[in-house]
Amino acid sequence: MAEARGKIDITKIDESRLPKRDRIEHLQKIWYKFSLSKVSVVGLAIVILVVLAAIFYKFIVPYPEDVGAVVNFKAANQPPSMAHIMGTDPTGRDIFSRIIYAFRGALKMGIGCIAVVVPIGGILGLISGYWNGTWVSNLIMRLADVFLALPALILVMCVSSIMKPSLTNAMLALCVSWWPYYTRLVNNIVVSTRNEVYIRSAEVLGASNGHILFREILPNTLGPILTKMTLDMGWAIMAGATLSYVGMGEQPPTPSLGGMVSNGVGYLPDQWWLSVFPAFAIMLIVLGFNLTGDGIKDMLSDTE
Amino acid sequence: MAERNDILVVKGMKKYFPVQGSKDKFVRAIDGINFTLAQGETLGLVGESGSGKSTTAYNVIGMEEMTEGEVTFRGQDISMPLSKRPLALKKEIQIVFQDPGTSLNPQRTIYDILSLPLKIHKVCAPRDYVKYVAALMDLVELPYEYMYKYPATLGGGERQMVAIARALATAPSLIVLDEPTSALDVSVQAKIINTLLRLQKEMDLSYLFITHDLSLMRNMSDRVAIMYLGRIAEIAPTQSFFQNPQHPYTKMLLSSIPVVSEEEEQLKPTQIHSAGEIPSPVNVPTGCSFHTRCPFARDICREKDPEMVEFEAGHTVRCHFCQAGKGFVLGGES
Repeated sequence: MAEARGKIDITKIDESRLPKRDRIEHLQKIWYKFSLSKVSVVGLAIVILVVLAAIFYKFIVPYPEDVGAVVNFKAANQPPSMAHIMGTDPTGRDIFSRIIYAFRGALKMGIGCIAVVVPIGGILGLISGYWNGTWVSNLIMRLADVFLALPALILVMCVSSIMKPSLTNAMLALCVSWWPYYTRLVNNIVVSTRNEVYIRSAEVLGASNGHILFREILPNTLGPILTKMTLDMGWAIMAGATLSYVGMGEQPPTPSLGGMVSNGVGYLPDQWWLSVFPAFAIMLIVLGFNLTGDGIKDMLSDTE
Repeated sequence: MAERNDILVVKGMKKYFPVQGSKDKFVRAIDGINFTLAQGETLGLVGESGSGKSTTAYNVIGMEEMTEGEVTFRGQDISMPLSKRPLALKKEIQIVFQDPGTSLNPQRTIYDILSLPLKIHKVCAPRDYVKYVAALMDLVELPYEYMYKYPATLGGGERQMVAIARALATAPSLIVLDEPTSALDVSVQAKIINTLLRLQKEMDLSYLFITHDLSLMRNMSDRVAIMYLGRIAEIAPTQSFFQNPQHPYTKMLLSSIPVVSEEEEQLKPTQIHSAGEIPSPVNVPTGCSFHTRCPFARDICREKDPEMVEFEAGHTVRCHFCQAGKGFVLGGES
């Protein structure tokens, strides 16, 4: 019976007339939309500069050896000058060099948290959203509620005071209380996307659960995840700085932005450069990520 | 009727939705309908909003699980929901939804959308996907430049063409058209309808065509079934449906089509003013469900549910006052 029906003939198709998939053009369009907001471009520039500085600190900083436990009392407590543009600390170390190095810890904190939290939270959100209403989704969402009820910073302080305070421990503790935000975000998107007519169409065609979940639904969640990720980078760095301020993050002599602010507090207001420059560095890096995140949000919101 | 090559047979299909908060109340979306669809034929389903026409379509396609009844496709029982149907069956029955703005994933290119059915049903070798997609685009007269574009960059009519091409990709024999033109501009409606008619001839397709647009129905369908509160009130070949309607509801609907010229006015059946709204399918009226709006309603209509009466060959009517061969005769009056 199938032979009788008009079959689709592909022999007459001239392949040379078919267009080529142009991914570069697509990326150009995305960049154009992002660049419409000048403020977000500034934010992205800050982020790129900070990341490059952190990677290539050895070639940028004037005193690379100052990031360790160096004592040089001859140069102690100097105000900003041509030799030390941000001054020196009470043991004679160059503040600028230490700030640039501290970017590494800050970014490690941010990227580390995101790298753990987004896949875990995202996949749990996909599962609970796709099988919405079943016991699996109830279990995941109630678990998320429990972890959301834990105050993040207090949990981190508990973990750090029980275990040895270190950057890794602080990061892990932060991740424990943080994944539910992504689970909720993804869950909500999946639940609303699940009932879209195009998902029904895929089902009618006979698409598998895997295809629907990862090819039809997942791309719709990537935009909001990317936005939240970028905004959360700033938040994680801030949390890292808070922890090192109270001595539960990166441990001395490795420089950390929060630690440097806290060390300098005792010398205020006379030796202001000890705290002010690291504090500005925190502000700059968080501002950079927030502006970028806002830019991404705006870029995605008017895609329709 | 014996020579009809029916590929789809629906018998006593019912779909009840539970009403939240009350145990024994149901929304009777479909309340026992029967119809058949032959190879290469178009059956039109018309009705007001809430008459159950879309629910019928979704049950045929298996997107919902029917409460009762039996559907067979080429003699094979397909009463089960989509998730339990074999893949080979999904290849044969496809659907085109009302709004192409929502039935195409905004995150996937036209190529992604059109190659999906090819991948699922292994229609051709992976290296031929591009050619096959191009052939599908030719079929619905879409330019090749659209291949790697996203649906948002296409116009409404073009998007619906993509949805039609997707439905055709597996060379199905039955396509359910769920109001395929009602979300589109009038200017592109004609193009969509003409394409659908051309494809039907070329590929020997059967359409289950759902609409509330009676004039569209006249151009598209071979037979028309009119639904009222989850039941078929009248089912007839298109010509007989429009020229010799029997059910008071059909007459009411046909006389409510706005006309411009005198000639059109003459073609209209006896004027029956449309009155009232369709009752809620939760509280279906007793007896004949149409008696609340019917100008001819008698006591019997309030008490007894009418049977389907065959007025002419292939033309059946659900009304107490319709008699075989004679048509609509009011009893008790002369």
